[in-house]
Amino acid sequence: MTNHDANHDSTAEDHAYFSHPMPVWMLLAIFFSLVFLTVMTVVMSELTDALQLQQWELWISMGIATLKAMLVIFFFMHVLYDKGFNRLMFFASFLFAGLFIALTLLDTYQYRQDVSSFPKSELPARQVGDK
Amino acid sequence: MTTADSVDESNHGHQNEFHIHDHSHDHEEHPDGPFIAHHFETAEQQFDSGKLGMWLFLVQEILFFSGLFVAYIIYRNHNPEIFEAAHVHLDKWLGGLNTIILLFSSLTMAWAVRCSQLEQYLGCIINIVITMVCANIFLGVKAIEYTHKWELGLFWADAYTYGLPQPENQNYLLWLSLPFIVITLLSAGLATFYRVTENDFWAKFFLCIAISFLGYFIGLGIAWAVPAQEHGGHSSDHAVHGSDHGHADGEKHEADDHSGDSSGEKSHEGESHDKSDENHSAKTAVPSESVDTQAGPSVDESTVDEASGEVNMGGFFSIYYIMTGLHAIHILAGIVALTWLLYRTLDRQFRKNYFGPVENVGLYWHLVDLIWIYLFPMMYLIH
Amino acid sequence: MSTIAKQKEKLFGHAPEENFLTESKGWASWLFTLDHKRIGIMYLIGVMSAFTLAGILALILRMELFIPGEMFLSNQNYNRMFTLHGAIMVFVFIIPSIPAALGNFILPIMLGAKDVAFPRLNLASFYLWMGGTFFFILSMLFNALDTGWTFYTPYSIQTSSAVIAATTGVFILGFSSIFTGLNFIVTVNTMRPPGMTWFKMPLLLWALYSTAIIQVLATPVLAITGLLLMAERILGLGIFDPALGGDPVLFQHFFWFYSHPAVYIMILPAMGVISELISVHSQKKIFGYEFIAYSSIAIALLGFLVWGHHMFTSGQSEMVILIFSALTFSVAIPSAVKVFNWVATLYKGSITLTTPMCYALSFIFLFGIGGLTGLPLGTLSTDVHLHDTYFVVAHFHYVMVGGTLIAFLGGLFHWWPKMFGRMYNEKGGQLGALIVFIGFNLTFFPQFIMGSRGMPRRYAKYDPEFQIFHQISTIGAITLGIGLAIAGYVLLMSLYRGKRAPGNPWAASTLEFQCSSPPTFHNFEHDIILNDPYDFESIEYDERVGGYVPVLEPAEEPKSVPQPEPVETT
Repeated sequence: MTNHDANHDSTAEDHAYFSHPMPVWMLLAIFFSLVFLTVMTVVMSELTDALQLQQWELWISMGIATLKAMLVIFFFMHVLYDKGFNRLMFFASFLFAGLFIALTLLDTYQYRQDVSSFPKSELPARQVGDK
Repeated sequence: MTTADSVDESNHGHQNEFHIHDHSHDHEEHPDGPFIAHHFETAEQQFDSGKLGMWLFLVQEILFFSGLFVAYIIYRNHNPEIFEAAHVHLDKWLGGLNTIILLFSSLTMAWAVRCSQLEQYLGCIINIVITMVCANIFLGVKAIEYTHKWELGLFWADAYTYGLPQPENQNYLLWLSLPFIVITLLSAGLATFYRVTENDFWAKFFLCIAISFLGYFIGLGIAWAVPAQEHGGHSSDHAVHGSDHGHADGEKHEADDHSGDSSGEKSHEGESHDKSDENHSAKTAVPSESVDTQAGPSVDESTVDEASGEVNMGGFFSIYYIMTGLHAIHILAGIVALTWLLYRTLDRQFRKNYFGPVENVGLYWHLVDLIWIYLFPMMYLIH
Repeated sequence: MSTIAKQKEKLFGHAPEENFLTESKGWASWLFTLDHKRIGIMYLIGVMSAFTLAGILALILRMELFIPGEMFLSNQNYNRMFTLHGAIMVFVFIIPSIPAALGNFILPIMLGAKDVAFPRLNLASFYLWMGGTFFFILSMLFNALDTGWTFYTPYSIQTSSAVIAATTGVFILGFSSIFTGLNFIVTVNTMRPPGMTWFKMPLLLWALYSTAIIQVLATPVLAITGLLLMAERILGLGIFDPALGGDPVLFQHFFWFYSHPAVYIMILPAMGVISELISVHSQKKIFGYEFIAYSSIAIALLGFLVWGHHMFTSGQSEMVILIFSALTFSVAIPSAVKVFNWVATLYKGSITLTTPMCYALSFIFLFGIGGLTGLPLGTLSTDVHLHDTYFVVAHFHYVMVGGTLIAFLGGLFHWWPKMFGRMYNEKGGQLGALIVFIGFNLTFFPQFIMGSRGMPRRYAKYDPEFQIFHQISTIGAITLGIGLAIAGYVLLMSLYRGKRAPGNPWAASTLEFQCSSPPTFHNFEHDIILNDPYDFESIEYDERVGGYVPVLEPAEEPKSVPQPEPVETT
């Protein structure tokens, strides 16, 4: 049919429209930054005691991990060049995962005592309960 | 029907015209190429659909793993002493090496996507094979890490037997490696067979598979070589902060030793940690003491063996095994997906307007990498 | 005879000789089909079988409760029965009912598309559903399941019943649901016809889209919960098991993070169906289209913030209860927005009491009760009293059965002519709807009274003071069963005796009523005419066609039917 042919011609010309090849130098630059950050985070954890960074260690490690994650997401996964909706979906998923974590953590301390006082040795797991 | 009409139709909806459809052509090839499904108008629509579908799948994956992160955070908050004790059993050099291997595989994966977009056939195959090799190296290193712990009895909570005499001749590594040995030999054999029978396509395919799975044995070799460094690294680790406490690998932690080092070492830490440690050392000394309900995280009595005072690290290893295990399963799934890509690339199915599968498998592969980027510091680094 | 009339007959009058039901024959053509309509029909048969099975279990339970003591079920068997009733109803029937069975059939046609975006994934999702159901059946054969559908730890770790088979089933069904949702989101996003903007979509699509968002975001948490529970039982992980230092309340968090949004997976598509039914069968443009559309999204998102209201008595802190309680009330706002809009649509509409409309009106009434009785359960002080009583049972049955099932039946009667090309007996359908309505209220209204007087749920035996309520309830359950049997009989008989359905028997303006009944394999044999989905001015009755057709303006006459080849040849 003619309309299909017309569509075909236009897409054949516009194929570059939906492919976005990443330049090789950019891929390599991202990779070496990632390696650098990995080495840095290991070195940081080695030096925690020497630099007395214990209380910051968690935040430094997770911060570096997040930086690495962002590099992977934006460049390797092309999110920087992707459609807005895909971006929204992906980051919304982190929002919901965060929501799950935050609301669950809100009061685990409250009932922790009850959980801890559960008889440990008397009731071995995976046996028929005599309820 | 004129061309002007059809352009008008595709751009401005169907308000004013009715066309009776002739579906006879639908059983033939889509004008955009053999891999464009009949219900899509254009190759781009199919690509966008596929990509959105993959993003949604990744959304699903993130929420799937989020449950494990919740479990990790809660367990860590409640039992900091277990993490303190357990982390000496994880080799951060092997973990770091594995991180870099995965990052490198991400690089080659992204490169493979680029090659497929530019129709660089050979480059695409080389990159896919390197990605698969890296995936297998990762699994090889992981296999050594796992079996090393199993030999020490560092299992999950219910099977935890660390410090107890271990059954001998448990060929954990052999059992783990068996599938890899079989696949490598089988694909090498098939590659030879097809080479002899001059079936070029399958010969190439199985050769690539065999090469990829050899990566597993490279991983085993690397991990075998590294523990020598690990002990070196570990002793320097001790030199930095181990003067006041001396757990070496496999050594039993004495009660007073542990409580001493945790309180001594962390006395300069933040307030909440202080409280937990006070609680902890108090409880180790006097297990029956009542617990202050208002003070931050308390320490479960169950985690500290009252007789020896040794910390039961089973809880940590439960989370370690379930998180890294599920991650490893995702790597295996990635290898399967990459094998499928390899087949299709060798068959030269991808072209400028049809590279969606490579791009989508790439997205999946990067997500697996992404999860490891977080798992690595959470498991191996944070004290 | 004008050319317009001829054209209408050509476009809408004929029933094509081949439709999706007859297009290819044999078992294989169904089992390996990629056609969304056939997959929808297979889902329909599947979920109706599951519903029948779980419904029979419910009837057995109600029989047992006719007298306070033991009649024919031991306590253990009673536990197994109600667990299987709940688990099968929730996981196997309600969750896939409207989205996977009706939605699969309707959604692509409503979009004027040939199929969903990923037909193979669609078929895979059906087979995953079959697999998950298989594991449930397996658990019935091996010592059944006695944990309640919630699988609460630590009991689910200790019990000897078939928890692993059932959680495997739940895990697999979860992925079936995720793939359906994923497919729908992509289909709606990328396959809308040119000219159909977001706010020109029928409201059912908004509802299915919101549902799909929940399916993709919440169901993976169910999967990981099931997986961890399995690992807990097989390996002894100690994440949920307090005997190993785990946290059983964490399991409740995990479970309800999915299962509360899952409640909206069940009710949102029902609300979408009702929006269609109310508007079409009162022939009035839907009131407040945008509010209904936005409220679907609002319910989907707010649904993620309220899971803690299932755990008020689990040991949560007062502060958390306060937060969850307040957020729970906020869900009432978008729900009420919908109900008000439906009622406003009915106002001065030309209401015809067709069978779908009877179900739609029952829905408004029953969902109103179900929704309002949710408020005392979301309030801490009253919830402590009502928690785990028959009040809760009555509340969620009013929402799940009075809401989802009724809307499912209404939708089934509404789209039945479209699916199979046959009109059912209207009188029979109305009678069924009436008996279902009476039976339902008879069953569950006494449970509100019982519950507020302290009758706990999940008990096989009870105090004699509750006997009268239980007996009314049991009689109601039998009535409900009879009503459903009549409805099923009417539908099935239509296949043999019903007269041929026209393309558009309801004067509906959405796209699925522009194709023939039943549709052909490619859905549309002509270009779609994109109207406002609720503009009933553009629909008129055509005697030659025997149904309703879009109004074609004379100005369009010269352009129409460019290729006057007969459609029958395709």
